[in-house]
Order: sequence, then structure tokens, then C-alpha cells
Amino acid sequence: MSNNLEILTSDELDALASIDPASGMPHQLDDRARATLAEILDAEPAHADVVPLAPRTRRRTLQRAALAGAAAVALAIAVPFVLKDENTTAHAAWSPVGTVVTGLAAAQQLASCEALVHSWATPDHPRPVTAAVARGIEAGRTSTVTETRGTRHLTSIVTGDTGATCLTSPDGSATTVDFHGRYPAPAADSVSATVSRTILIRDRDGQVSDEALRRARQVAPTLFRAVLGTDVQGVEISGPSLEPTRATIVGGIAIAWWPGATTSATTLTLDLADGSRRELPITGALVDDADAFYGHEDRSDRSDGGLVTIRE
Amino acid sequence: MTTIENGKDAARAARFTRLYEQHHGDVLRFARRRVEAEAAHDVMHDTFLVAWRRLDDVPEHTRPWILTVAHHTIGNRLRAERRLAQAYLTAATAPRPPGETPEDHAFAVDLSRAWDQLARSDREVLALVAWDGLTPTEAASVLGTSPGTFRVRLLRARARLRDRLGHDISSRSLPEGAAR
Repeated sequence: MSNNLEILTSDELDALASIDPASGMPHQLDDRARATLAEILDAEPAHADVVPLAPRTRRRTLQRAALAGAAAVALAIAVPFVLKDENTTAHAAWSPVGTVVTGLAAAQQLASCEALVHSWATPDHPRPVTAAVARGIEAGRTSTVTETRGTRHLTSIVTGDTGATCLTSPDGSATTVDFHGRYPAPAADSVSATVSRTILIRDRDGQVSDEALRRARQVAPTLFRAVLGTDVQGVEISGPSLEPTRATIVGGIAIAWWPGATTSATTLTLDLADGSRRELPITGALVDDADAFYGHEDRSDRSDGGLVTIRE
Repeated sequence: MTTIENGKDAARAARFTRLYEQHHGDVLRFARRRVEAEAAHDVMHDTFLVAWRRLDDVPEHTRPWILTVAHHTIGNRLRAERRLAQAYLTAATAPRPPGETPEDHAFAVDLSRAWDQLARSDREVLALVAWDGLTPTEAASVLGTSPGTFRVRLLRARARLRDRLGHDISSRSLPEGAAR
């Protein structure tokens, strides 16, 4: 520290130390730090050129699936999901059945989601949908839905013809958000829906290790949002690698998320008002366009925002 | 999955473990000063994953190197999650030490307020020295600038903090328990 005293006095150093936000943190290895060490040692050692000292942010859109009911056409912008290990824990606690969240807890999640929306509605990201959602929030939301499923919250904001859906961590930080335009009104016994899934991978010079990509594919969550026809009272999503998952429904909006990807064999089962059930396969093409946006240095480059047109 | 089954791998793992045990706290605190608690653990993980994969490049004087990696990792996260920038190098909001006098408390509040009003670039140079404990030369390497330039930036940041505070920090006594 003596070199620092050339410029800052010991009183100054002591005073600044007193407002250090990390001053109370432990110096010894705790259980979490030991677990992190074990996880890193278990990782595949990679070549030096794969994980850089000063990595740039790049993006790989793993999969955006178009989902169609009888008359489902919608637009969605999927903002990159930030890969982090907390997701592994979150996925372990994931539940196929969500619970509606209300009151203060819902308000907190809503605030996180709105903050994320505003962070994207900037001149750096001049997309009509993000701007429209932000304006809609300012003007007053028309409706919101929040569910909890394991340790994650999923919040859907509707602002007139546009909206956003955010997946948030227990601390309220948002990990990913979908922006969407107007969902066309579905038939009474059908839905209009989007399924989206994107990730963010750090790399350098176009190099992404297979291990990093494999890990990203494992943990990136899929977000589901649907506008329900008037006769639809329940929605279940199922597939070969997906445990039957009940969507949370409030006010004609169904939301859900699940760990991992969706496959082309994924099916929606709708519970109808007359007691019958109707199955709707995902008919939109599942696109693994991992290379489609590969090479963009900054996410603002993705000016199309991953617009998805959903086909019947 | 990597199976550590030969002597070379075992030695590599042992070296990395020593490095981790020695510096994980430094990296975690460095990250916590700049991002929220949960994100700080992610930064620590990503930073040491780089170290594990670049172990042959880790210099003997490790601390500035590993904090440079953490600095870049945080930079990437801030670009990806702009919301995190709100917590970047903000003053502590934790309860004050027991027994603190009203005068000490008022000073801490004033100092925190003055700190948070500084530009992020000023907080950065001050934090690298006062919080992260780096020398100006080490801190310059973290920021990728020259030691001379860093010293100039540090002096200017110190002057701006003094202006915000309205007096020299050194002109008053400090509360019990505030010393490093």
C-alpha cells in the first residue's frame, strides 16, 4: 500500500475503506466457493485462444421456435439470455407447475422487468417493438401476469398491442426478456403463442468452444407465452424431452418457461370449456440458427432483433 | 468432463487450486464492488475459468493479472446486462459500525454521497487503489493504461471527491472500526 500513499493519504485510504461495499465479505473459502472450484476443475481445459483475456460479447441464437395454433401469428424479439451457472441451480428447482404471484412480490418482479425493458429501449437499440413497449409502460400497463416456478419468476407485461416477458432470478435480476408485438386474436378453441430461446456466449475472434456451446444449450431456458381463445381454460406443453408443463394462466394469457430446448415433437394440449381437450402440435419450423447471427460483435447489430414470423 | 489421471494434470490442478485459494476472495470482492452479489459469483466463476484454461499464461505476480481478467469479465456483463451498471462501484449501504457517533455517521453519509456523485471513471481509479488495494502501476495494468496516466487520473479523481465533499478527507478523524 505504500505506493498508494504517494497519492492518497492513510486517512483517505481508511475513510474510503469505510464505504467499501465488499468490506464485510469473507476471506476464507466457503461451501459455494469450494463448489465453484470443483466445477471449474471439472471443466474441459481449452486452448488459450478459446477463452480470451479480453473477450468481446458475441451472440449465438440457439433456437427460436415458431409455434402455431389454429391461427397464430406473432412477432417476438428475443433478447439474449446471459449464460450463468446460477441457471443450473434454477433448473434443478424447476417445477412443471407454476404458481401465480401477486402483491409485493409481483410488484418487485414487474419493476425488474420494466427496468430491463427500458434498458433496451434506447437509441442504441432502435427497434419499434422495444420502444413501443417502453412507451406503453409509461402510459400505463394494460395487464401483467407473474408466476413462480422453482426459483425463477416469469413476468408478462401487456401494453396495448405490444408487450414483454421477463425471466428473473431470485434476487430480482432479469436474465432474459422477450419483446413481442400484437398477438392475433385466436379462435375460441385455439391460441396464439410464441416460444423463444436465445443465449449469449462470450468468445473471441469467432471462436466458441464446443464445450461452451454444449453447456449453453443445456442451461438456456425456453420462454412460452400465449394468448388464449375464449374457450381455452388450460394449457399443457409436452414433448419427448420435456416433462408435461402446465402454463400459468391469468386473464387469458398463459406463460411458462422450462430448462433447455424445444423439439419439433413438442405439443400443446388445451383444456377447453366443454371439458374436452385439444392437441396442437408445434407447426412452425424449429430453427437452430446458431450461425445465423454469429459474428456480430454487439447485440445492437442484430437490428432485426430476431424477428420471428410464426406460421400456421 | 475432465478426468485428472496423470501427473501433469494433477500438478496443473494443484497449481490452480492454490491460485484459487489465494485469490478467490480478491476476485469476489473486486466483482462485488462492481456488480450485485449474485452476479459477482458469476464473475468469479468466469474469471477463474479463464485462469484454469490459461494457466500457463498466469504470471507469478498473479493478482493484477487475475483482476484484469475480472475487469474484462465484468465489462462484458455490463454490456450484456445494462441494469448491472447501476450498482457499479457504489458506496456501501450496509449498517454502520456499532458505537459510531452521530458525527462519524454524518461524515460517512457525506462521503458516500460524494462518492456516488463522482463519475464512474473517477470511482474506478479511486476504487482500484483504495478498495482493491492495487498500486498505481498495478491498477494501470488493469485498465490498460500507463502508470503515469493513471496517476494523473487518480489525482484528478481525488480532487473531484474533495470538491464534492467540501473538504479534505484528512481534515477529520475517522470512526472506530473504519480503519483498514
